Amino acid sequence: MNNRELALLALEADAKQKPNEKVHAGELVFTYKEAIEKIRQGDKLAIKLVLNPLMQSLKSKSFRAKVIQTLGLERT
Amino acid sequence: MAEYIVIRPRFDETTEISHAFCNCMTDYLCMTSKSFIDLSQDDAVKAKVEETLKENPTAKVIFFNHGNTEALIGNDKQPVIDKDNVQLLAHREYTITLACEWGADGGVEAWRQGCLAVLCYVDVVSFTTDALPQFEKAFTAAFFLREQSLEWKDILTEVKDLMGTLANELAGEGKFMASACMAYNKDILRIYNGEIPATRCVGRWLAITFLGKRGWKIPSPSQALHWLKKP
Repeated sequence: MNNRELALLALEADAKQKPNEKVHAGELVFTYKEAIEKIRQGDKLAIKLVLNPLMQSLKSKSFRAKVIQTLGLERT
Repeated sequence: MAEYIVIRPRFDETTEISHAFCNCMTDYLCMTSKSFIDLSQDDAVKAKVEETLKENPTAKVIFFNHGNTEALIGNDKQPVIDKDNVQLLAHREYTITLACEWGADGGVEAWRQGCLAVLCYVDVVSFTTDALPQFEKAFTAAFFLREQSLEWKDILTEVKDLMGTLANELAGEGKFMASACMAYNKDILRIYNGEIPATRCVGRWLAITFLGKRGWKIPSPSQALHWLKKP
């Protein structure tokens, strides 16, 4: 699974657990669900400000392992 | 004269939160009987900020709100500090900001003009509402560490370590976006003090390589143009 797919799954997990919580990035404010929708629509700002930091963190082995463990993806 | 000036506009959902992030610092200043001026909401506009900075030329400055590469933004969504008045930050012990991108240009200019330490971010700052206490701790840590008389070099290390630890803890709690935001903020945090700011400009890089810190004193073409256009 590549980092983009894993980042979106991590965001979906966040959105499911905390539907009312928001991410503030500069002047942009999204709920996690809105952020996922924007990213899927190809919104460049949402990709830069929300998806890219998550993908950057996924380069860390420990962060990636935590995401995979939490999402129950060890065997995939 | 005041020892500290806290500038904290509040005009949208994000600044509601960044305004509240400052409360722990203003509470501390009240508790320790330190003199400070709180330029909050309607007082956080250019005319008032300039007047206060001029009347308190040695006060340390704390600014929490939106920003961009060139300016710190006030309550009227207009710049309160920009290239026209950044010299008002000169010779102060520090300017601590929580503002997007200002470290990429405006923060460097504040340091070039003689502000002794400038804490800033070189890209868009982000946070999530499921971890506000952790973000508040990270964004205000430098202020409290400086109150303990730590050197800026050590403060930068301590704050980055704290952000790294908080990012790991948030990931452990399954708050992945919060963790990613914290880690990204850590990467884009800068403190311009003894350290020479990095540059992507080849001309500037050559100037710094040959002249050291003085290489930053040479105006860029855009700065030179800005000064020439000034009445």
